[in-house]
Amino acid sequence: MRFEHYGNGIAKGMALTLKHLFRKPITTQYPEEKLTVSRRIRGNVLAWSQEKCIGCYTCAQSCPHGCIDIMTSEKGTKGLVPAPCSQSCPAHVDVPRYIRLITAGKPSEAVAVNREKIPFPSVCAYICAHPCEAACSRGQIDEPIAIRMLKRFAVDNDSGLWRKRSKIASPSGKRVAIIGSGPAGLTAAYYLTKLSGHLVTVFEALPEPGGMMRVGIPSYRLPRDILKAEIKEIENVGVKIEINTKVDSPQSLLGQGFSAVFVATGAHQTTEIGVAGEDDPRVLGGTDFLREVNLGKKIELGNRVAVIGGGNTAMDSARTALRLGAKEVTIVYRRTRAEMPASSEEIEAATEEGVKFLFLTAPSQITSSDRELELECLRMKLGAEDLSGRRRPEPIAGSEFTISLDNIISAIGQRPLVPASFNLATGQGDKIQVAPDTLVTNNKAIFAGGDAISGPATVIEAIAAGRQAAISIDKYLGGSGIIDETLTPPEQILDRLGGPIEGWRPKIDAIPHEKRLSSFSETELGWSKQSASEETQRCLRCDITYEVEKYQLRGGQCIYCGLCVEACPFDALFMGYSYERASYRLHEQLLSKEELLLPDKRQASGYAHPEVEETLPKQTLLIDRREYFTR
Amino acid sequence: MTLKTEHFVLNLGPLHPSTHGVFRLRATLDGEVIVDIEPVIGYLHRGIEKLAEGCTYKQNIPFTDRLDYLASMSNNLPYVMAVEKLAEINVPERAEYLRVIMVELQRIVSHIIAVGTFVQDLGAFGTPLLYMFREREKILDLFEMVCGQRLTYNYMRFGGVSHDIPDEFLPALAKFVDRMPGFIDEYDQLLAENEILLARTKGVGILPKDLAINISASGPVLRASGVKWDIRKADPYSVYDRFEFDIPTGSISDAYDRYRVRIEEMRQCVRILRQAMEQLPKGKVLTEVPLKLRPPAGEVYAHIEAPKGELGFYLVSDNSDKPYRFHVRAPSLINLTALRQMLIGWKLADAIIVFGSIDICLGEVDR
Amino acid sequence: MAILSTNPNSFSQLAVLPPDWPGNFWLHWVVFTVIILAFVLNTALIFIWLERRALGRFQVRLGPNRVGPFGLLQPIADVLKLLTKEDMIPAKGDKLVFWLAPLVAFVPVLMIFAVIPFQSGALLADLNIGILYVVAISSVAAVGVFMAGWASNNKYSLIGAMRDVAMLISYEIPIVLSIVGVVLITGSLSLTEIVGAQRDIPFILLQPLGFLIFFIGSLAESNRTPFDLVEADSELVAGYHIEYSGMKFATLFLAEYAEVIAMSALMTTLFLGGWQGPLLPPIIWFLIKVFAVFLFIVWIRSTIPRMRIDQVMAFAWKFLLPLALINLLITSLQVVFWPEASPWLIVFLNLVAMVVLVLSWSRFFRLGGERIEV
Repeated sequence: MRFEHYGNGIAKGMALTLKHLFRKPITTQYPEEKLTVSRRIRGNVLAWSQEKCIGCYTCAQSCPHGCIDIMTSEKGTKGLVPAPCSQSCPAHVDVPRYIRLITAGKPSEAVAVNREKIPFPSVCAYICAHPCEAACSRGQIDEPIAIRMLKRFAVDNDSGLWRKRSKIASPSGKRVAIIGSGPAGLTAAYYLTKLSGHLVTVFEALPEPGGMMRVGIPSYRLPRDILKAEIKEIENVGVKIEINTKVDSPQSLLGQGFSAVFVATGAHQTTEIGVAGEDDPRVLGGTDFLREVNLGKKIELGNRVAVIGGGNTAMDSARTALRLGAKEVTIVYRRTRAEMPASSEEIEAATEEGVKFLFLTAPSQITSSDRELELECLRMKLGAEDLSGRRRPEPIAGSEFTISLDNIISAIGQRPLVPASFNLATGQGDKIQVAPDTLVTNNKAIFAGGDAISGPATVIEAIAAGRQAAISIDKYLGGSGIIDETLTPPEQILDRLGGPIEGWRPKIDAIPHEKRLSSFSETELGWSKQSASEETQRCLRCDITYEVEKYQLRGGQCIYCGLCVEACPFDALFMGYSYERASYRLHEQLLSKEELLLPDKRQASGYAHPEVEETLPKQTLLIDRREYFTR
Repeated sequence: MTLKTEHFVLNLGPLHPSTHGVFRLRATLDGEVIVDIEPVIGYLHRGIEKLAEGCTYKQNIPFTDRLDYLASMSNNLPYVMAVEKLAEINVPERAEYLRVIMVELQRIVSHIIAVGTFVQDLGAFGTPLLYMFREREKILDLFEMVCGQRLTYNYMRFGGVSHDIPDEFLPALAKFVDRMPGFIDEYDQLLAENEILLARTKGVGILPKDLAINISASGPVLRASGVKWDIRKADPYSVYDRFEFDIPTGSISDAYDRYRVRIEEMRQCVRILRQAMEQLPKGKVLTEVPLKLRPPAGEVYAHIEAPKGELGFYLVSDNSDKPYRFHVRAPSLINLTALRQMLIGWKLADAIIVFGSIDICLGEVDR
Repeated sequence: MAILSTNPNSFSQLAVLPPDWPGNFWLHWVVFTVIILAFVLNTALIFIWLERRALGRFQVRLGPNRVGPFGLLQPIADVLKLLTKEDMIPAKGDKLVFWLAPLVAFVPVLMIFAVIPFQSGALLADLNIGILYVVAISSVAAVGVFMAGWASNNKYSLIGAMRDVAMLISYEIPIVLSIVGVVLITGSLSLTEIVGAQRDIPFILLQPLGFLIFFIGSLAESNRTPFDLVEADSELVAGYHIEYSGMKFATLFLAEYAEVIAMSALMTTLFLGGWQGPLLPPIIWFLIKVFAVFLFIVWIRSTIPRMRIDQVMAFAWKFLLPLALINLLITSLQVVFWPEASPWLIVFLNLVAMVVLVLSWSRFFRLGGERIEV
């Protein structure tokens, strides 16, 4: 190695160090000076709020070192709080409570809890979209509680106990007309009749009551006798249902002696795909197709069927088409499976039954010949996220390809169809415009709700809309607007009912799919008592707050990874804001504890000496949050 | 005239200031000349691979922090990538960019420590190291801002990252990115032409190209040997295919080249950071994934270009919530295997700097 | 004894001290021994503080700042800590040698100060062979270092000690040769006279190459960067004093700093004009120069890395030694054949000679060895 640079390199370096000699020195700030600590600091101290903690063990299970010990009392609670499941339910069914009743072996009581909020517990038990399961705290740990299946178990084992406790209000003498006998209309009818005493007449244009529950949902998902029994219960309280009656205008009903009208006509009109050749008779609308089939009409389908769309209607159409004898059913969807709006159970069932999927594909043209239909498609790719939070598909130029088909079912969406004679203000997508709180339309005696105002939605949302309509109609008619009833005695002692146990959902039995395709009988079978009880034990009982007797974190093992804080469904754990302040506090605590000791056992830190640690009150790194922040 | 000499054995480590942890070099010396050298590892073995088989997938993320504890972000990434591959979890675009930003910042941190301690081993009393730690401190502040921790970040999650960045992060990052090239120039002024540094490192510890490939070295060690191999280009993961950057390589494959490659890579990191900041999209940063993830049965290998080389995680799932097998392909360990060939015949002092120029982290070597 | 003619009033026409400097021969001995001890100990403490502070600022940090104002009491705190530490002797070490080594290392360094003039006449003994005495006595310190390395029965300390001896022998030669240049110009070995000869022009200008060689050599002699491979914390952990603790370690540490002080003082005396300077009192000038030299050494320490042992050796034998010889040759030629020349012309000539020599020698000088086949 030569001295190539004649010491130039060293000189340059020395010039740099000399320059730094006159720079302002950088120094680590002392704790009391350090003010710019990140608010996310995962400091030395965990704050734990006893009020929020329910002792669900989620933190203990998420800890990689297992250094969290929790001891909860066996009995007694601090009270009930709304659980995520019941909060996320549009009708606010008290889910944790009926799960507890199932655990206690009282399925009839569980149905009664459901009946307090919804008139269709059986229907929901079969086809509810269960937003509750999406919100379930257990879902953050492994798999949400199968709330719908537990309800199914309850209704399967119902003895009709609720009827003994139910009371029907005395007649008020006022008459209410309801247009449409779907879930929204019937719910409103049920509560207006039963709890407010109004005389309700439901007008239904179709030959069967039930709305979408009857004509939109295939019978293999919702057996007809179940629906009929539920509607029978509603008729039992005094609701009059007039089928095959088409109402021309709600205003005319007001003239016929009805004091208020509730428009719940639903969303039955299939949205057009918007491509050329769509008007061919072999191209069917999804809801039309399902309606025809469900009303018992014969529909001839070819061997090759394509269903366009990714919602529940598309799944139902595809599975129905298979049962009608189609050999090859393909679902064409322009996004990917992750973005499909259909419920995952439906998608899985469709896949099991042999439905094929073409993702990232959009139809661009339909060409018809005598023998077959040609569906020309474009490949798509996912672009940026749109308003709904899903990624917008963008066509890939030149990626056209064609599929030969016998039938096409378009199920890309529905919209309400409100006749012009109704004289109601409609907004975007033909939805009736209402005041969001009261559901009043532009006529103060006419109310509207359900899919007619929201576009296609779920049964449970329609039920919630029906309840809301019942409240505001009752208020309009001079009633109290209270439509809650008590069908179960209040819970007295909330014991720990066992659990939460570890594990996954028990298997849901279903009939083998070879047998499924031959009939429209229900595919999903209920749970045995054993499975149901097992599943209820998994519930974290988020609404009961047990008195946590001991919450201890073995500080020596904690690695401050923050997973417990992240895992806590109730935000009961906090990381200390400031590392240094927290250390000081910890140190203070240790010193104050040492003062309790005999002088010969004291030492600067309580950690090193094993015998000292024994004699100390059990050290805890957990500090009450309020106490911590008021300092 | 030859003197009659006697060999003697010197244990460098496990407790020695220049072994960067608890590493032991059992050197047989003839005076100052190394006759034979035997690396002894395992003093920091914590059984992380076995430990991980007993923990759920998510619980293992903090363990990966503790492999190469100087580059925790880079350790999180391949593990979550492996699990995402296994369980087919989508990662939002923004999260991918955040991951790239964090990993590139981490690369700067790791290289800063590598170069700083390397020069410290050369005997420059702390000055270059402290200049470099000044910038490291700024990056650690950025990390603290994002995830609240300064060393073991535990930031990546399956399906994204644990937190979105706070508002003050991007301005702070922009400021840092603007100033970093100036700081790298300062390092160059201090070190690049320093005659003593050149005398100590040029031609020392040569790792020939074919040997480097044969021992499957990776990272700056391999690139300093003249092999243009960078997983970011060779097998682009995350969103690396959207950035423009160069792969610096060396020619003599000596300790000096390894030092130069790291310095140049820091410049490339700044380039990538600039582009990533510009392209950073809006949106969410985390896909919801259950706490006890149960990926389908199967095996997966995911690798990234970590600061020290190819860091890969091999996972086998048996469809339970815990991995059946958890293996780490640690670049530090594999780069270390050529140490003996590189050191025999050199002086004792060279052993330290060649070892330092490989840049290992014992947490990763022993696991 | 002729060489120990120690009557302070007898020697210098440059004497600034009053002739009634108190006391006789023995009082002078006692007073100056105390002064030297106090000077060395206090300056070492200040140097330690100064080095840590300056190094801190070079590295953009504060340095010690918590004990006392500006951290001034930090070295005292350190000394107290060292004194209260457990004093350990390796079980298999040579206990007597281990015990003696710090003394053997420290005493010769202290003895150097006997001949260093703090100002005119203010010195313990103005030997007429002063500089020879310094060269002779300063080499003894290496014996102490070697004893420490040997007696510790530790491989690291042994390697460190071996390195120290090898280095000291190599660098002694260029140092002595560069001093000879100064002596040639002065015509005396007495340090007081060497200082006196620099009244107009300091020897750093007359002997630039000599100064360079002496400076580099004294860096090696006092084990400072880039020649600190005796301690080489990254290789040998602590070198020869790896097994030392407590008071003995403090003594070794002190010896090291005393050596730096001695070398700074020697450089001041030989090349920077000693105590001479305008306006300020001579002792202040002396201290200013000593501290300036020391700060320069700290500056070097803060910037450059350490060399390898073979490079250090090669540097001494292949670079410094030839240059020192050439420097000696040039100086002797100037002294012998051109004694009447204007000193500024000589300054110019020597500067040019230095630049040309250093640059051209750098061309064909190769630092360090290649790999050795084993």
